[in-house]
Amino acid sequence: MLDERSAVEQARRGDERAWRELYERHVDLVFRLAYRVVRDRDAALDVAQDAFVKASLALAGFREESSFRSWIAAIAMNEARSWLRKRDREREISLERTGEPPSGRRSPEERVADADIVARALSFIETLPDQQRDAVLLRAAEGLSYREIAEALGTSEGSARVSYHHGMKKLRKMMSRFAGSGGAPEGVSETR
Amino acid sequence: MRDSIQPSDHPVDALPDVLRGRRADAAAIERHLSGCASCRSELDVLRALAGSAPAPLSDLERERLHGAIESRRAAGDRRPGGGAGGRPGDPAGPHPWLAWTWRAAAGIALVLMSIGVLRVVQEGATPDWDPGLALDGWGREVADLGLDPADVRLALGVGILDDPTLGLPLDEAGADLEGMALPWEEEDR
Repeated sequence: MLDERSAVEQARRGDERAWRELYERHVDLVFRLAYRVVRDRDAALDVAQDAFVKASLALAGFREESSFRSWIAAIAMNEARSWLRKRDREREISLERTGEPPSGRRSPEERVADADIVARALSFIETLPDQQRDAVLLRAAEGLSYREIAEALGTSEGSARVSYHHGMKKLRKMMSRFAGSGGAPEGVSETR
Repeated sequence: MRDSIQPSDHPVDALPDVLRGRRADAAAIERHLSGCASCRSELDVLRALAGSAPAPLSDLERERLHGAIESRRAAGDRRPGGGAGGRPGDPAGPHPWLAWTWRAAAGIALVLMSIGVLRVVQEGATPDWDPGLALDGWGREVADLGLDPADVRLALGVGILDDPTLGLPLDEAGADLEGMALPWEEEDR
């Protein structure tokens, strides 16, 4: 089994086996990140596909200042965000045509009314600014280090840390507000 | 836990790793958690997020995904890294240098065409320019004298042929012309 740096180097030179190894190592991370953003399995598979195709075509320009893992994670997040933007545009067009409110444009409060704790957390995450959301997903959901998050977001380690903590603070507030709004479980851990 | 941004050594920073069993000092952090409601609520959120992972990819999904990626790569560029835009998200062209060659050639052609058009327009705009005369300064002088450039050309040609002082040998065509009546002489007869 190749180490990461050698795999990247060989894949860059056209070694298909090395490329396959990179794919196998990172496909789960890419898929999970995509899923957490787009929240649809088929869409997440499409996003993962786009991310790997782009990574393959841009591999020559990959500077090894960051790890391949954080690089591909950044591509996956970008692709997932593009997918969301495209979906929103299509929904706006659909709204203009039919006059019906699209189901996905409910407020966060409305959307979580019938959701379980996991879906609720993800719904709240959607409302965070991009950098905070990415930092929270990469750190809390995927366990990346601040250094890797900084590489993925193209920022400093300190800034990644700040984004993560601001995002988590907002999330905790939203979760506790929801828990205190009645009908919802008091502590999120109690539902698990 | 404080509301402000946490220092790196604060237990809250370690919570994602504690959740994944990556911390050697997990016991100490657990002790901290028992007395810190804020950290416990953060851990709850972290658990919810960690639990938001989708079901793992099946072997079939993994293979299908790989197949789709490979067919798209084959359509663009077979070799990983080939035709790269350089940055994630850059559109990948098959051969960027080729595209630049075409652009450069098209640019040069456009410039040359523009120069040609400008010259033609400039020369065409000169009121006394006569391509038949093609004498530049002379044409302008002839026009200033109010003469017809075509007549001047004819007269000059015949004059040169007929003038023995120029020392030009009469060729066969010149000899044929010698003594011939010119159109206006013909009319005078």
